[in-house]
Amino acid sequence: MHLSFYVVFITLACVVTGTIVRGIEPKHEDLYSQDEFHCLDGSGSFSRSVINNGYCSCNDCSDEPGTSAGIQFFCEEYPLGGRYIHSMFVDDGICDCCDGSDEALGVCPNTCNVELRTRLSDIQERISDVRKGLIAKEDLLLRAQAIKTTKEKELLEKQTRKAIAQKAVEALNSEKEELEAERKLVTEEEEGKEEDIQRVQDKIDSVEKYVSNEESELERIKNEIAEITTFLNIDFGVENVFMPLYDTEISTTTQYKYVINPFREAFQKEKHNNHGSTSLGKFSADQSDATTWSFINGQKCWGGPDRSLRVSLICGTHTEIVMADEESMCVYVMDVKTPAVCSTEQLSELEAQLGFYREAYEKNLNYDYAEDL
Amino acid sequence: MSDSAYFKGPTYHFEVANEDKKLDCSLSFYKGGIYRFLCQNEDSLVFNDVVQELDSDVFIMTNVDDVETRITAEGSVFRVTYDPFTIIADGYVINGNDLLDGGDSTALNILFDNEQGFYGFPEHADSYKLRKTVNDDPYRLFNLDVFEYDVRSVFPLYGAIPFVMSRENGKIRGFFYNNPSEMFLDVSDKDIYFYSEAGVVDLFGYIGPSYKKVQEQHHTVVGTPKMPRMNVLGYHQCRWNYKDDADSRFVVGQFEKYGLPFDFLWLDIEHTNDKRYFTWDLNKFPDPQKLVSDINDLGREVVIIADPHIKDDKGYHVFKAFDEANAWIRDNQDQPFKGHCWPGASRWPDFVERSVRDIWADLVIEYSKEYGIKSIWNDMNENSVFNGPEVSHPRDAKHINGRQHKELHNVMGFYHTMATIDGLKRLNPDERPFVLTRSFYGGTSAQGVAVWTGDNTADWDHLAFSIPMLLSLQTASQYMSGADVGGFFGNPDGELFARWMELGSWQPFFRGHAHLDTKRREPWSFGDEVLELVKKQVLQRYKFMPFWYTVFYESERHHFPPMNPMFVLDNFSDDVEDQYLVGDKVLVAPILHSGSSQRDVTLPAGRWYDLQNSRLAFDLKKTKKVVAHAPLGTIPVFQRGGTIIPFTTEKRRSVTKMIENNYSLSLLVAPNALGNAEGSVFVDDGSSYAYETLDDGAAYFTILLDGDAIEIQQEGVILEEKVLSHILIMDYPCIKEFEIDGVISSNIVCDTTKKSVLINVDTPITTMTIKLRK
Repeated sequence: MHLSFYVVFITLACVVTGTIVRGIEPKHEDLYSQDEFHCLDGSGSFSRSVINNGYCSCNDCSDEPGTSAGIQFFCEEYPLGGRYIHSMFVDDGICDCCDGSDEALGVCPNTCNVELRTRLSDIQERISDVRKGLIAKEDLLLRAQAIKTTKEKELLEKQTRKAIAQKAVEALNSEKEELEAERKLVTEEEEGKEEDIQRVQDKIDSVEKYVSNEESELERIKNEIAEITTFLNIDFGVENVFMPLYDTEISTTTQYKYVINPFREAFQKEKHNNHGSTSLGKFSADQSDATTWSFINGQKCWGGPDRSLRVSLICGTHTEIVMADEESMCVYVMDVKTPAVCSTEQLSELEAQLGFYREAYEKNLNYDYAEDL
Repeated sequence: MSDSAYFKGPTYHFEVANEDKKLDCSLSFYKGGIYRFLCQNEDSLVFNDVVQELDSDVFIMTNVDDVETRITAEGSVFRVTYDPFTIIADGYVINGNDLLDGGDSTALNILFDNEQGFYGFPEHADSYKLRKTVNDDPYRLFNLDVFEYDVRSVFPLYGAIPFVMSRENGKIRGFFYNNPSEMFLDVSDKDIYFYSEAGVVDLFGYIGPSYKKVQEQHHTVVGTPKMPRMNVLGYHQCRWNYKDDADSRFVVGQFEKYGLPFDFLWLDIEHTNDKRYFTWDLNKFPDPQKLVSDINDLGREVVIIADPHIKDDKGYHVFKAFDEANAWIRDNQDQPFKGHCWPGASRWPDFVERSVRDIWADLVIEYSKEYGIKSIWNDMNENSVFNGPEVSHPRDAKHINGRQHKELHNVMGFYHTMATIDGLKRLNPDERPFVLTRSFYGGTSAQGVAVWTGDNTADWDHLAFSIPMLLSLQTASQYMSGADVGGFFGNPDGELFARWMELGSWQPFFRGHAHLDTKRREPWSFGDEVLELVKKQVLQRYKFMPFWYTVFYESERHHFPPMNPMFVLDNFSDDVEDQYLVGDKVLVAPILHSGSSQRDVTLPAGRWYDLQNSRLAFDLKKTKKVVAHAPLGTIPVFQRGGTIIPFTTEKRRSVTKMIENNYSLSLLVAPNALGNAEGSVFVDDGSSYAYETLDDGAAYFTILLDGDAIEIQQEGVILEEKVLSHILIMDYPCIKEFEIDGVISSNIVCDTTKKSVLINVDTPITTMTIKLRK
């Protein structure tokens, strides 16, 4: 009972508030009420009678805002704020505008209120997600800071150890040189004895063994330093927000198992077989940005291109693949939700929208159509 | 006259023989300028399934002496001589020198008095005017599944119509060498030479003398091409493959989002359960009925593919149906022929048999009813056999009727579509069915079946060759035809794609299609700029939909192809292959080269109006090469002065939606130098057979501008009032008012820059006079 009353009431409200010329934005009303109509794109001027006469006279068809001969039609959709739809949807028996203004009177029920409530709850849900995402992002940032500190500390330690090892190698090498000089002397002594030579030689052998050990230790440290340096040089975004994702695996468990190793490589794996793994591409920093990861030059497709993957990053409460598709042969696209891309700007934008729809909702509740009569 | 020769009615029977071979020959005359020269021995196959009932109520006069038999039929004289054997007709000689040569093969030479241009004989990716083949390979007809075919080639393709049109100073004749075995054609300046692997000499001669007359004569023999449902003239979106339910809905949703009209979404082989046709892969399409009906709700249709190779699987209901009836094509050991195709191991039903076609038709009915499908795509019906010689059946495979495959090879597709059409017609007797086939023969068009030029390639050559290839099909009376827009193999760039959409939008069958390995290429795939350009072209196609529909109605009524070479105009006779006419009122001169934004257009004398901006473009005293400018997103299209064409101002999602919302008509008038113009418009419900008799729901209006009055004459009855919304007269002085049945109105807009007058008629169209007052 209450609901049906509501529908009737909104329909009437719209008829009353509707503009004089069908299909125009209220702010354009002046442009359509002169005796002479000037095309909005300046392509001509005509008598008023061309407006909505079913024939497009202007290049931009702005003389046909309310017929299917136009290009776009403005749905007022009170109190949602209105939007444009394609003119081909006007008067075709399919309800496109929630206020039913794209069809003849009485053809479509007014569903703007339902639409309004849906939008309100959608936005509320998204706001809640972004808020949770922002909290999760704080955690990511803290972890990124911790990882960075650890890695930098590790780097320092390694560098110190590198210096020590280098010194040790130098010292051993000079000891070796001294021993070699001694061996030369002993060998050249005319009355030199075999056992003296052997004694020096033993010392040399033992020093060489130390040198070799120290050198491989040094090599190992250098590699570790290079690894840490490479890691620290990766662009992990503002405040290194993506850094904690580096060692993770983002994956799906659908028919094909897709695995993303952020900033490294992506794969497709057989679901029940961990051996079969196909590279979808290696991470390309050049083709990636703050909200897109690009993986290129994956395994070549039979009869097609090298596999590639484009990942769109969307704000979410935790990091997961929410959509995976092979757009065309061996060209993959995925949507990944992650707190790392949540932003306060996004939150304020959503809150502004929420405010708008809340206000619309209030307006609608307080709307008294009798005032218009 | 030999001893055994005799006349029976308008047919002359005689024998041609030597020591080795004896042929029973006949020369028959039929009403309307048609004759048939048939020479057969006892066991050779005469392919009568394509031949319509012919009217032999023709009076002939004969005059027989020792040297020749002289026959006069409907004013034409034919002389049959015996030594050597010839038939001498007006302007040419049918030379039977080689009739008795060879074993099973047949040969016939037609030698003309004067030099000719020869046309037709599809399907080849070659020029429209047939090349001289004297010192080169002949044209070959042998239906094959050709991988990545080349252009400028006499190599056979998917279909065969052994029809040749000859042209000499405006005198036009036709020849249909009705033989479904492998065939060759040699062409020189003055003669053509047919030879075929098996069968009989069965030549239908059409005396013309005009282009339309030859079409009509050919239609008398093989049947008149049927006009399609109106929505078939809309845009078709195809791809191998729209992967699943979500992908299909996504594509439809994108058309909605961008305000792009389209009418048919096509599902290729991957939609089936492992290439078992008439089934669905329910993992990908969990609820096919729902998908089909949701798409139908937006005024659009789904086309599914059903190929003739049947997966060798005893559990598959289609296999079972044919297997139980022992309905397969056989190998030379008389066992079911087995080969490989898309499903792997497969067999092929022998559609040559009526009873086998009935099984297929029943399957079509059962399936279409269950899923709400009204349109079917028959592909691979050459037949394509992956592991067979030249990717087809061995020539010694056997048919149920005892014939060797080589005798029937070129009509596998013809019989396949016959079965599909039959099923759809039985299911919906009041609605014209829609079937697309890759393989075809003469008469396929008369079944009401469309063809496309198969697996072309995304390059500029293939774009350009779509014109001669389609003209050849049109001349051979395969009216509903098109080429895959964008090119099937390979990836077009945005420019090639946009140019192809421009051209495709002015060709009869307008479908975008792409190979499995290609990048996605729906209209939005090349960025916003290309999308906007392409959208303009698609909208223009729909704007002129009433014109296209009228052209197709008239193609059946007047035996005049929808797409024509320039020489059908009275004042033009050159061979031009990079521009053509739609009907005879609109000239299309597409841009066919990368990087170009202008081209030369050859225009015959007279006035030519630019259709894209509705104004007079050229007023020529004689034929002239002019330059037409066409930046990407525009195609030079001209309306001939002296014509009127219909259009609609209402934009819709689809043709079906246009019809549902009873689209209004408008007229675009292009006066000639005398201020006159004529045209027509056909209106019906878009799908019924009412057009055949023009009563109960179909009407044909002829429209005449005679100086200061527009006369409209109605023939037939429409059930729902059809509003004549606007008349735009181009290059016409401003008028103050107009009068219909004594009612005067000044609802007129004069455009002084374009020099056009827009009349807001807004009156139901009927027989009436509209007086124009200055």
